[in-house]
Amino acid sequence: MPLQVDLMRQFNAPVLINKAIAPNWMHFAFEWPSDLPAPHAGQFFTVLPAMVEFGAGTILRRPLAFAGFDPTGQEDSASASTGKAIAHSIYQVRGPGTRALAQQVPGSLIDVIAPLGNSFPWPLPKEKAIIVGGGIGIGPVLFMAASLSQENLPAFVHEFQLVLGFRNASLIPLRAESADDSPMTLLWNQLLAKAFLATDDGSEGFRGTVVEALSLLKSSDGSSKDWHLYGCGPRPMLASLTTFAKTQQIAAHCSAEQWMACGVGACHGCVLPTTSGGFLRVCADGPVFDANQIDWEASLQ
Amino acid sequence: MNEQVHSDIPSIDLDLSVRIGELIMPNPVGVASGCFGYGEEYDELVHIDALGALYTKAVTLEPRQGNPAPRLVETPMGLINSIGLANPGVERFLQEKLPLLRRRRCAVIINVAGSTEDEYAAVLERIEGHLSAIGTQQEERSGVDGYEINVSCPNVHRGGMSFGIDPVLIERLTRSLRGRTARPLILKLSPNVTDIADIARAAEAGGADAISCVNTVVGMVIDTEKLRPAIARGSGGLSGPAIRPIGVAATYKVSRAVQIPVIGVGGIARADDAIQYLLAGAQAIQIGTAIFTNPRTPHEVLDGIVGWMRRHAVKCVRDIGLMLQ
Repeated sequence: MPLQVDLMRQFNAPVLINKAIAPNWMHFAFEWPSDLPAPHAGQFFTVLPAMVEFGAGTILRRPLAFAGFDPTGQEDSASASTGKAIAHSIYQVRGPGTRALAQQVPGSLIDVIAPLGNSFPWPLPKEKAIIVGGGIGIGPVLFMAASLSQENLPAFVHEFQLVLGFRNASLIPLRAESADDSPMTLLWNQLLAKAFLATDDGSEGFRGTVVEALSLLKSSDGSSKDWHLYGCGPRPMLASLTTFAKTQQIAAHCSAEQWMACGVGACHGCVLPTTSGGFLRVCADGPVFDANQIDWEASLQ
Repeated sequence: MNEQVHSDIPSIDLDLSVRIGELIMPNPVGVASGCFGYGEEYDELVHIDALGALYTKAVTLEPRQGNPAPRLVETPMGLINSIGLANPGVERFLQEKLPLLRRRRCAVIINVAGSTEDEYAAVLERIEGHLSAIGTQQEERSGVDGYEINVSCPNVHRGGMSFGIDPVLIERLTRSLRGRTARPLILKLSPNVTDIADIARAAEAGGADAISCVNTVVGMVIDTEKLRPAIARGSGGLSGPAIRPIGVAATYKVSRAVQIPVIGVGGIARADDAIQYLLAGAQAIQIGTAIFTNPRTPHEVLDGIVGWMRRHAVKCVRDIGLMLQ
């Protein structure tokens, strides 16, 4: 028998962190099986929260994007490494499923299927990665930025720009006192500190959308490299990001979200319309797409 | 065509086997069409060969893109879908999907859909022609142990459910398909009818070997902020635990109206749900939406059926229907 390596697996994971980091935003972390390949930026997992809410009766798993991965497994900055890897995510409490997930206490077990979907491709040596996140979509882009920041990589990948957009300053996560002090939170805060911030109302950073911010940054960018956009956020943002990339003739990859049932490509429920007239499955063909593949305007209908 | 299927479950003191036409399934638990693709998607999560049968995603004559997005909305203990029979068409099915299906050790039932009687017939003829052309050695599996005819999809304009509500059309379609294959022919019926027993009798008269009972129930969710239906096509098919009592009642009715076996499907998430279907008269069951919740469900249900049979001292799964008081 050839050695078989699981590409995905269903397992009961100990919950390590499930804590608010902004209004209705939660930092979620769970123990990662030591023999399962590490997830990559762009990939996601599904969880099955306990179903408790009267009248809601949720039955579907919830897909959540990885927002970071810590192979050394420190739960907080004071504790020693447990030697067990930790997967991190950021989710927004939006409905009965995520409300139930928010009730899941550290130390309990949660049913996880992971890792799922594809990941962001890496920039080429001649490219500069421009990593753009909007709202709750910042999770995967923080993971991408963290991945490109790793020390053991060729120097060219370190030259990236992170651009994050929020409706207003109060929605910028991780600043609340309640935020935990895990190494991942510290890493996210370092990335946030280096990021170009935009808010719709100008309450912090650039006033306007991230795509408007990109126009400004592009005109002042001294780099001779081609831009390669990496985006995750609300679909209108991805639509205008794609238009921007087309106009500027630069590569762009976007991570998309859609209502999902199976998460593994079997049911064809989570599709998005493509520019060639068909559909692609977010779970199995994505969630990361070459931005030109998806008809974002049609997907907004 | 007597293709005995062997499961990976070690032989035990119980008889779990189920007969559908000339086909013997190793146990009564199958995975429902549309919820399991063509098997490969769940390969890493589910040990499919331990199950009784895999009912594939629908195959149509031509490739179909399916319906506009969004196609899904969750409801209390249920899921509404409007996928629209998205599939690669029979040619690509034969080239790309069948080779893997031939390696399965559980029974493989090909779900077939069409817009017209001719389309259903053409899909069957194409598959039968392909199987004759490639031939099968002794011990080799064909990958096609039977057909489940989808006359109950609520998510297409023509065909699908419009067949499934008319006993005359059902009998004619079944007879036409009966003439094109010796393999087991299972008609999958819609609960969206006045009297499902009439439809089942028509399928039996046309030569069906079994009835799958039931497909999804037409349903709609309206988004009260966007002021429009939650899925693009408006209404769709409701599945999940919410429809289980509908499926059990239909199974009870149909199994008393026809002599051919009934395969119970609709909202099975636990062994107790499956046993309700078996007590109502089903010979076998299918699990669909609950796989999305937990891919281990079919195995847990099978284990639970075995445990229940031991507790109730039932030796043969086919006898469970006789136990209902």
